Amino acid sequence: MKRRQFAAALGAAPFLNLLPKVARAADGKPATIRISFPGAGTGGRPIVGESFPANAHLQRAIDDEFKADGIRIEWKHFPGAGPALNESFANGLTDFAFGHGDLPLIVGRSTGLRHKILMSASRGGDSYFVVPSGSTAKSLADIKGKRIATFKGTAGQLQTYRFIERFGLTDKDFKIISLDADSTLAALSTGDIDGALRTPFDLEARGVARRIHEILDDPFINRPGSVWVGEEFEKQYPEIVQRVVTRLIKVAYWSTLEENREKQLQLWSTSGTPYVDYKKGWERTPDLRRRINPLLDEYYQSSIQSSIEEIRKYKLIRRDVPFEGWLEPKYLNLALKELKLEDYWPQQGADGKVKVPGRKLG
Amino acid sequence: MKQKNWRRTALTASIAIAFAAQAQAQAQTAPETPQDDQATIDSKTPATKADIQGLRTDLENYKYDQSRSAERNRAQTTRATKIAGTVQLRASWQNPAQNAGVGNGANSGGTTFQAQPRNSSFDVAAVTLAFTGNLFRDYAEGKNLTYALGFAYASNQSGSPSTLTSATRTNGVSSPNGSQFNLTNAYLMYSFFPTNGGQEDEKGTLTFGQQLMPFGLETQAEEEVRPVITSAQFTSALNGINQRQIGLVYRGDNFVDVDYTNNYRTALVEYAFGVTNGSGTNKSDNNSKKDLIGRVVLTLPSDYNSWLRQVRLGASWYRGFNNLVNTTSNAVVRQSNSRVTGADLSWTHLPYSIAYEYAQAVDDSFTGAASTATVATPTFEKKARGQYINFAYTWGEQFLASSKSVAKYDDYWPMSYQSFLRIDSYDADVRATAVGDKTTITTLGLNAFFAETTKLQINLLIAHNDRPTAGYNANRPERSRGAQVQFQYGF
Repeated sequence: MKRRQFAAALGAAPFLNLLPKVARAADGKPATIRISFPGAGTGGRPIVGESFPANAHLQRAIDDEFKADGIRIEWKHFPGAGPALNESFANGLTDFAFGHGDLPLIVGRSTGLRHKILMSASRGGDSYFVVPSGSTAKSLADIKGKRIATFKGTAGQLQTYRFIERFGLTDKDFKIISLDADSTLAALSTGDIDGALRTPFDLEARGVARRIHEILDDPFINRPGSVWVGEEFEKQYPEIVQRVVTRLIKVAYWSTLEENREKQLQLWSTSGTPYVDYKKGWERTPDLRRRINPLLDEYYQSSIQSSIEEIRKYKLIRRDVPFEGWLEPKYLNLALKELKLEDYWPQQGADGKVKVPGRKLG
Repeated sequence: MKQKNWRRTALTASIAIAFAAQAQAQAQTAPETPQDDQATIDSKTPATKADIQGLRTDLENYKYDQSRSAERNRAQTTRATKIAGTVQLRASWQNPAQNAGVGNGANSGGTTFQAQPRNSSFDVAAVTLAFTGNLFRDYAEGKNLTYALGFAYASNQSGSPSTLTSATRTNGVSSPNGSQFNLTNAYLMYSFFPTNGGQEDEKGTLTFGQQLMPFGLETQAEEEVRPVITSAQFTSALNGINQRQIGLVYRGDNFVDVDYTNNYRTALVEYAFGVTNGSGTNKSDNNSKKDLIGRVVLTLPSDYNSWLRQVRLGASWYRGFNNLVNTTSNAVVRQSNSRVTGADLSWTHLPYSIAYEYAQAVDDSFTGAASTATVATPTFEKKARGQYINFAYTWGEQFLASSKSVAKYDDYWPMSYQSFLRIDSYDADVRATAVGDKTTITTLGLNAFFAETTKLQINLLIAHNDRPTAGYNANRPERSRGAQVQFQYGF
């Protein structure tokens, strides 16, 4: 190649079709579906647990769904959690989110990220505030003015703020530092922080930390996570979206069966989170449908609305968050109908209580 | 040692307790039924004392292996230290040939040339070695004291790219074999503001020691992040900013805004100001006056998703005092004033990025030959001016934090490419009567980032020189073309 030709080729490279857009197959299907989780396992391994979308990954359910079509599933697990998932989506690198926490989801929406919420990813659960085992603190009031850790920008930040408000304190009463989950563990072990919201069982068994407060099964401390699809992808591939949703609902159903409780607890513990944390964290949930519930019911909707108000109160967004048109329940409704699961899950009201009980289990 | 043993015992005990707790939890579950699957049966099967003993033995074996390996096979430092380095391997070609006796940018030299004009060369263009670490870690607020120590290789051999500013080591001049390994960075840095609070905290650090000067964009860029193989001409030509200096520099920012979409942080105002010797790298001050430097950068507050993300406007200023020397006797004849001012505008919104930078130096200079200069020799203010504009297009995920940190089992790194066009101009003396000193280099390039610390750079260059009074010659042709291919790897 002559030098001039080479130079021209070099200059033209940006304009060639070399860009990392999703490769599109000729038959109008995507060559790849990019599915992201706002988290990763201990030490950065690409596994998460504790939700039915996580089971869909662990069981390769979505991979199997599209195997015959030759569509590749690209799984992404972000140790940077919800904010990292937002960055990936903002740069056109994610099609689906399998469980996005309320804070990054809402902040992303306020700054122009366009997605359609398809279903609830998770809900409920207990919250515990732990301090290093050497601490003399007996209550949050005892560590007023000291360092507590949360991963800022994630749902955990709001959860922490809500938790401490229950004890008549605010975020201003503490030095709140930002640490990810692994670093929080390490900091508790070394006493570099004075407390954090954290599952306590393994830490207590190892003598690393102890809980000073717990709030059990409060629907207003833990807000639901969300499964969403990018608006552009949804417009272009509605059939693919339906297949993903239907497959996810199948997995959600499997995950609620008592006979599968142990299987999934053991699957989840491959993420590096100790089995005992999952075991004890879920033993107060005799009916798994209470926490593994994909519905976009009144509770889900009012939770998101409440989170928007809280985020405004904490000045974490500057703009309004358009709620209109954000939820797209048609895929979920069709999947529930096809799988004859319309009455399977309990519907919660805005007050968090069960409004319409789920189908009676045999 | 006692403490170590205590820790081990505590660790063993705590793990045993954990398993005992787990066993107890399992023992409390319902009895096994014929319908149970294996996972459920496993969950109902309590661990025995022998199971725990076996696990404890495994743990002791693991601890022994770790301890033995740490003592025998791992390098140790007094303080936590990060070791990093960069190596550049380059192949270059140019037409017309580089004339023997003229180094890259050098304008004088010896007379005994041991080379012929050359069209091409293979070079080790640069090697750096860096050590960084924390000397004092403030757990409460993160007001840490850190250090940096760096070294860089420079060839003794004539005509090497790394001898760019040496007039005595020109192409073909006899010189010793081997290389030098010079101190580059050597500083302490203290953070006056908390660094562990979160993105919304303002920053403020004081750096004492030998360091890059906070002037403009390219002067401060370390090797690993420079897009173009050869830096803009003015960065190696203007007094004061063309090399590291020894002194004190305070850097900080104010009016911080965080877009929690992806924890994107911008500070409306960033600034740096400092006082240095001004005499260059690894040198004591050579006069009684200190040099001053200042820089202010304004960043447009914007959301991460905004097209106005990363629009930055910077202004830099350097005030120095140089010694004017009689080059025959090497005696200092007088002190001169030196002022460098710069402005820069950049926009980085991947995949697009544009950077423009302008710098002008005003230096007192002898009106006549420096070789015969005396205290009575008049001086004038010589202005040198350089500027460049760089357009880049990046495709791939190299510069996205989420992609770089994405969880993977293997040695994953996002493959990325970056193409760019840079036009770089430098005029060493802007007077209309001063000719033969202005060069404009147009560079078209492609960078391929194919591993975490490794990139391949391809640059095509066309250099246009203005005409010397006596006309173009082999040392200064009207136009020259070149190609450079460089592998840069880091560790």
